[in-house]
Amino acid sequence: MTTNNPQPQDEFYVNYLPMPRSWSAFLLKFLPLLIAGVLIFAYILPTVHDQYNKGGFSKRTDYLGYLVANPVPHLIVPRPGNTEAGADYSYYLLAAGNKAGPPKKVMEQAGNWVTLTGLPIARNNLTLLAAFKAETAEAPEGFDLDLKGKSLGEFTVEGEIVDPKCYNGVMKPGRTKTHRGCAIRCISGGIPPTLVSHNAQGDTIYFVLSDLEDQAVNDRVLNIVGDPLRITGEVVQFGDTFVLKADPETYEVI
Amino acid sequence: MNEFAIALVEWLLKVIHAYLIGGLIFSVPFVIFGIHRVDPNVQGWSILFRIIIMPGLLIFWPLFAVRLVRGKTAPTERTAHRVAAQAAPQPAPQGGGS
Amino acid sequence: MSVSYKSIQWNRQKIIYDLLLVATIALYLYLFVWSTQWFGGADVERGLRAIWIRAYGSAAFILLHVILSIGPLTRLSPKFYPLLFNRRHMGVVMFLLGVQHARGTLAWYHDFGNLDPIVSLLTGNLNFGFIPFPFELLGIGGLLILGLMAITSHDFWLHNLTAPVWKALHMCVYLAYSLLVGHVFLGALQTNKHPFLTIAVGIGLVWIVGVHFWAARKEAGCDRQTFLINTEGFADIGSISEIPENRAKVVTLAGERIAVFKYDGKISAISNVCQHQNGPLGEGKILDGCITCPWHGYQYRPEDGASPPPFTEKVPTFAVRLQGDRIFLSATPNLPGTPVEPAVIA
Ligand code: HEM
Ligand code: HEM
Ligand code: FES
Repeated sequence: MTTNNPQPQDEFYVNYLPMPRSWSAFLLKFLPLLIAGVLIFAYILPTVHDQYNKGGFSKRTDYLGYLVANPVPHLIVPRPGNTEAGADYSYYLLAAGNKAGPPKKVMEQAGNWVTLTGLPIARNNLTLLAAFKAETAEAPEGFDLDLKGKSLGEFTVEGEIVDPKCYNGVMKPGRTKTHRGCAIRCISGGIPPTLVSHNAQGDTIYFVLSDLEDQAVNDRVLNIVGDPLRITGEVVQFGDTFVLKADPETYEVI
Repeated sequence: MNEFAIALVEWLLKVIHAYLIGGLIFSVPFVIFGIHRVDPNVQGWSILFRIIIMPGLLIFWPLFAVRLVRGKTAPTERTAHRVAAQAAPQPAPQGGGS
Repeated sequence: MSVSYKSIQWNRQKIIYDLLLVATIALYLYLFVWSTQWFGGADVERGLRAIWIRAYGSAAFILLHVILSIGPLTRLSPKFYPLLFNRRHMGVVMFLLGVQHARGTLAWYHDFGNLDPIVSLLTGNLNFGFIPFPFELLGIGGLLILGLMAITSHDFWLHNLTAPVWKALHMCVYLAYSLLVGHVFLGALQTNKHPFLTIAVGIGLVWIVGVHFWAARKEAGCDRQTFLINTEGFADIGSISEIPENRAKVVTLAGERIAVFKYDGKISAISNVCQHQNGPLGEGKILDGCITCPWHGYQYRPEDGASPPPFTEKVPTFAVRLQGDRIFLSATPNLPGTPVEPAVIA
């Protein structure tokens, strides 16, 4: 039985039949609009993401420095001839090549002068070295090692805990909510937790976190990584790096 | 790190793993030998068809295991009309049932 | 079900559909990465690993909006039907984009640490407060639902799980959508505070909810009608002149919609629910003597609700009588495939 359709304008379509003219005309207008609409997002979305900053890493380098394990693994690197800037040494945080604190082999030499091979990852004035190996070295002459730092008194600061390896430039933005899972992994692995804070002028200031006994706080801050925090404690200055000493129990989420 | 949560998740992942392995052990012989009995519409030996349904079988394999054991095929869907038609006295005895 | 399963039944329109789909997505991903580099210059992360995560995630999310819009749009205008018949390929592609996105996340954010990446993903952030909530879990939930839909997307599954189970599974796409809106709101929108993103996600949500309400309001009229059933069990459902030739009027009786077709001077009625994917037969048309479903073109004879051989689908039929211009429809369905004498228009 075949139907002689009395209504040629009665349009109907199934995918194994030819499409009515007016439908394909409609789709020829609608589909380009839809596709262009989708592609516009590909162009705009990246520009409205927080994923650009000047942080980054450069080349593997050998550093002569004094290796310290507490409160967090770090290397004190003399900067001769740079006394005008205030500090005559740099305080470099240490981590490994993966999401972990520096290798055991390296940290066994804490308390010694070493030549450490590391990849510097830096953002603003915060530098972390991904440490690969360290060999005992001669102490440099005429350098006055200062392990006490200079206490600046008690301060209340607000900011966010990051893992300084990703934040410094391995990942961008390397902070806030989307990066939280990764930062938790890094900090639980031993990368020194650092508070990123902004002062009234909008400058970024970093605080390496320590508890009152000069121990790392890593395992005690995992639940609040990336959250806005308020911390009150003693600020101790090492070179141009600040260490904030407070009991992690007293960190306030705001 | 929450040791309890980690242990729980590791255990759960093992259970899921075991379920999927079980699915694989069932499904490979099933798509070769058993599938015709459970679904008579499967005709021929298309390999691509068997690969395409494999991921689903790894999840739904117990359903087919039960049907294979009971010798059943897929049930016909139940809509309000089909249910009402079952219950109603039927006018035309020559009508095909379902 | 059709005679025998094929892995995929290709035809020209499906190929065009898929080519357009894949080309658009490839272009989207390429443009996303290009735009990032062009805009960011040297300030972009080296290796672009996170950029790909964002490109895949946003592509999947946008595609989900398109997929969810097609259904209601076809209710508003049949001109959208050509986008519907191959929606499942769109769904599978979206799922694969989601998988790439999730794989990127696992490798970049959770590998190289002190736990297995999957364990890290599931246990890293256990702070279930509102804003700190582990948004990744919402993404996993969404991805699992989409995965279930994708791995069962062959007609083999439709037949073996039956269309209503299917429908239930597919309604879960709305659950997946809500989970994924949560995933984006508690994840990307907390990090990227640019108002454009929040507004875009908000407009997407309002559009999806809005277009569904709009389509539902258009349909609600049909379901709210009630008919008086006379002593013989027949209801007056309208006049012959209301129905265009080869088309149907849809009424709700016996708890479900019925499609009443007019063709060749005759009237026949069958259940509105296509046995394939429960498509709306009443929006179909009689082609070559058969009621043809508008979704994928399955066919049923109006006289007995059965697909012509070799096909085996059957839907319930209904007795029809005419009194002058009025159509009287039995409120009792016959078993699927029962032949019913069509009412002949005098
Ligand atoms: C992963 C691929 C798929 C996606 C993403 C998808 C998406 C959707 C969506 C969004 C709906 C919502 C209802 C509507 O818009 O009308 C839906 C409904 C439905 N889908 Fe799918 N679909 C997919 C594959 C399939 C496949 C392969 C089948 C059958 C073999 C199928 C059968 C159905 C059915 C029966 C409904 C109910 C329709 C209704 O009552 O309106 N879907 N699907
Ligand atoms: C296992 C499942 C998933 C996980 C673990 C996951 C994880 C993530 C992570 C970590 C981010 C932040 C990325 C960043 O900005 O660096 C993200 C963003 C996002 N995710 Fe997912 N996701 C999952 C599934 C999905 C699915 C299925 C979709 C959509 C269909 C989706 C859509 C998005 C979108 C749109 C973004 C924002 C991207 C952007 O910033 O432009 N996610 N997801
Ligand atoms: S629903 Fe697919 S043809 Fe009717």
